[in-house]
Amino acid sequence: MKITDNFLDKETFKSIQDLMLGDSFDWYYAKAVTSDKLIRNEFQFIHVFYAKGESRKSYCVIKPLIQKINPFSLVRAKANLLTITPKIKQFDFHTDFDDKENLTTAILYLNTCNGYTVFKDGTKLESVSNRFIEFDSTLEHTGTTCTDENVRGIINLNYFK
Amino acid sequence: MTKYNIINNFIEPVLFSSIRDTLTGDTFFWFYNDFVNYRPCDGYKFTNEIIKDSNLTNTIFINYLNMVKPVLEKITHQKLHSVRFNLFTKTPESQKYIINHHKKNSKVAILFANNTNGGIEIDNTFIKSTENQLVSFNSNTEYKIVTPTTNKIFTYTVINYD
Repeated sequence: MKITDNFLDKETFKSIQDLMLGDSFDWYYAKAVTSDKLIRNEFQFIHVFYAKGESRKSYCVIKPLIQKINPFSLVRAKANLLTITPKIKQFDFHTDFDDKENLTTAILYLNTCNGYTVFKDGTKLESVSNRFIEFDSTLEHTGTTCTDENVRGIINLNYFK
Repeated sequence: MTKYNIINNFIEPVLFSSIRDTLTGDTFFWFYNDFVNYRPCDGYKFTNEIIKDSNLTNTIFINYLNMVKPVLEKITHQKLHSVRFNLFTKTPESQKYIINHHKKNSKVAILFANNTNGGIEIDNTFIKSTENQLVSFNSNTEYKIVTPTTNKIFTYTVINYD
């Protein structure tokens, strides 16, 4: 697992953060968070930039991030937005893809809050603006909501190096 | 005399289900606002104003406008100032937010899209969000949005017109 703080240069990160947490970026309501299973009180908003070989117009927003990572092949790029809850809610452990070997998963945190990413071995990584984490996609992990900000935003990437 | 008017089953159920399923579904464009009425504000909402100052805000929203046409056809109006969709998420306790940004001396109509225990408070009365129910009132009447505590989301269409 690799953690890099201040991954993007300040200006680039701020432009992504301002756009995605601003009022002109489109989000889509998802009734479930980690799988298709509907669970009481679990929902999020998502935005897919790239999936199944197709990119959306908004892909240009994360282009500087992809350029910096420079993957051999991008599999999926999406963003998640979780809204505040009275207590931190941790979702089910999962892997983003079950059927792909040598895949890397990465997360860029869009804002600092008390939500986090946690791995099955107990490793906990706090949401810090512009922190980038990268790990083997076979590692089961999950995310949480937060209680100190209205939203917790992340960009979630899957790629072959 | 009450300051508002309520009409149940406002449009044909089949037409309404298209609005409900779209607003509660996973393909609708929502824009995050870190405020409800004005900044600064502790609350937040998801919104999409497809008609602003009587104009379509983006041509890609023409389908959303077509979707609410049955509603607009049943509301006698000369001018549409705004057509907006709002979404509030569940809160542990009901939160109330005053809404007073509509055009003065005009009319407001709210069509609830889903059944929740959220709703609006108007003229000291709480009106629970009920599918296909339309609440209309003068824009000078102050009202509050009340967030839901039992449902994941509360969503509705709000039309400001003359």
